[in-house]
Parts: sequence; structure tokens; C-alpha cells
Amino acid sequence: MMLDDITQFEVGDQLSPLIINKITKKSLKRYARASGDYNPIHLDKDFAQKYGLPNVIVHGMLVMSYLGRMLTNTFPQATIVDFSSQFISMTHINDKLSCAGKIIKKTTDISGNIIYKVQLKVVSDNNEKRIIGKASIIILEN
Amino acid sequence: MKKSVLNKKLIGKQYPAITYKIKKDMLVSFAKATEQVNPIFFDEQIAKEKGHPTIVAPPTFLTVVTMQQEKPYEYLEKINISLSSVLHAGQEYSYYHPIYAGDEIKMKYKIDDIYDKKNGLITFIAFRSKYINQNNIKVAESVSTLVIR
Repeated sequence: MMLDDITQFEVGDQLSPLIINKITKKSLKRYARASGDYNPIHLDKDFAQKYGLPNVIVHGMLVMSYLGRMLTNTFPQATIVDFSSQFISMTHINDKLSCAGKIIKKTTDISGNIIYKVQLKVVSDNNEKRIIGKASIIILEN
Repeated sequence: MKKSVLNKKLIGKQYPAITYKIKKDMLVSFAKATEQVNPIFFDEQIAKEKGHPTIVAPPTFLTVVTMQQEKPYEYLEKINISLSSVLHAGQEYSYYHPIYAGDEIKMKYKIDDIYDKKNGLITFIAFRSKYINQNNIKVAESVSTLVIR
């Protein structure tokens, strides 16, 4: 669902989801350069295999960044009060991911500010949870 | 049952503060790498038109502050944790003030908690960071939890 008026969400509403079609090795290299996170577990296949993994794994923070993108697609950055992720399982090269969010609580305070609690998740196309997360949003009355 | 690999006395350990100047091109390349579509994260002109003083840092950008140091994993080496033994288990952010290109962010961080699960088979370590800008405003706080395999 797309809403132009972000004050109109109700409990149970889904945010507009975000699909990440494919994460390639190139995506990881680009993220490593941009973030400075050159941990070889994300870049060096031999290193990853030494630790019992089939291939390099995706930076958790890259996956959380996709989730953040979904959030800021709906809510302006300044309305986000907190945002957290638990990394439940490893994200692999070529994974297709879907980022989703659902309003689980809506309150309006005495000044008319709206506070949303949002439940977040990132799921792979074989239906494994990669991230479960949450965010709080405050829309100020003005 | 395995004994916890980390001494709980490390809880509270403070690290020397890190200072990081957010350059515009860092935000642009971070936005590209995370495939941002909202131009406020990479286009200064549009960011200004939307009422921001300049390019805005997206929600997960603060991870860069530690990683762009000369020795980004020194904070682990100092407590004898090898990089290959850890995985990122969780990340929490609280935001207090917008973060923009040009900001100089001072990060103060410490070991917030060390705890075991599964009768000591898995150990977690949590680092709490506070981020303060050049005007001495606390812009954010984060908790980063690593699991030691």
C-alpha cells in the first residue's frame, strides 16, 4: 500500500515492500569500499570456505541498509527515532530478498504527535528470515 | 560446557574516542553501494530543495565511522577477539538529530555487555556508541552486538 499521507496508517497496515533481486559479489565489493568493512568473510571465497561456509556472505549492515531504504521510502529520515535489526541467518550471494514492514502500534500523544511502532523483516526467496527488526516513528503535529 | 571466552570484567571498558569528518563523496558512494533511490542521500541540489542544508546521511551510515579508521578491527584485537571468530548478531540505532555531509562526528564507545547463551556455548559482546557532532549535539546512539563462534 502506498500512502501519501503518512499520518493515516493504522495498525496492521503494511509499508510498501522493497525487493532486492540479486546480491552479487560486485555489490559486496562496492559496499566494502563505501563502508570500509573489508572483512574477508565478505570478499574472499577461500577465507569463507576455511570457516565452513560455501561462499562469501553478505555484510549484515548492507542488508540492514536495504531495510532502512524501505523505511525511508515511506517515512522521512527525520521521523525515525529508532531502528534496530537482529541478524537471524546469513545472507548469501545471489539471494533474492524482500524487505517488509508492518504497523503494530499507533498512538497519538497529548500534543497530537503520532507515534508508530513498526515491525520489520527481511526474508529470502526460500522463505528464511534474514533479519527481524523494529523501528519507532514520530510524526510531529504542526 | 565451554567456559565463556571473555572476561566479564571487560564490561564498561571505554575505548579512545574516534573523530570522523563526513565527506560528501563518502555519502554519495555509501548511497550508491546501498542503492538509495531518494536523492536527498546523494544529490546536494535536491537535498536543499527538500529543505535540508546539504546531503543527508541514511539510517545505517554511522557504521562507517568505525570502519573508516586505519585499523578498523583494533577494538576487537585489543580484547583478543579474532575477526574470523565473530559475526554481527544485532544492531540498534537511536536517532536524536539529523546527520549531514560536512559534520564532524565524535564517537565515544565502550563494552556495554558480555553474556552467554546455551550454557556458555555462545558468547555475545555488545558495544555501545554515542555520536556527537561538531556543535556538541548528540546525534545518535548505537548498540552493536557480535556473536563469538
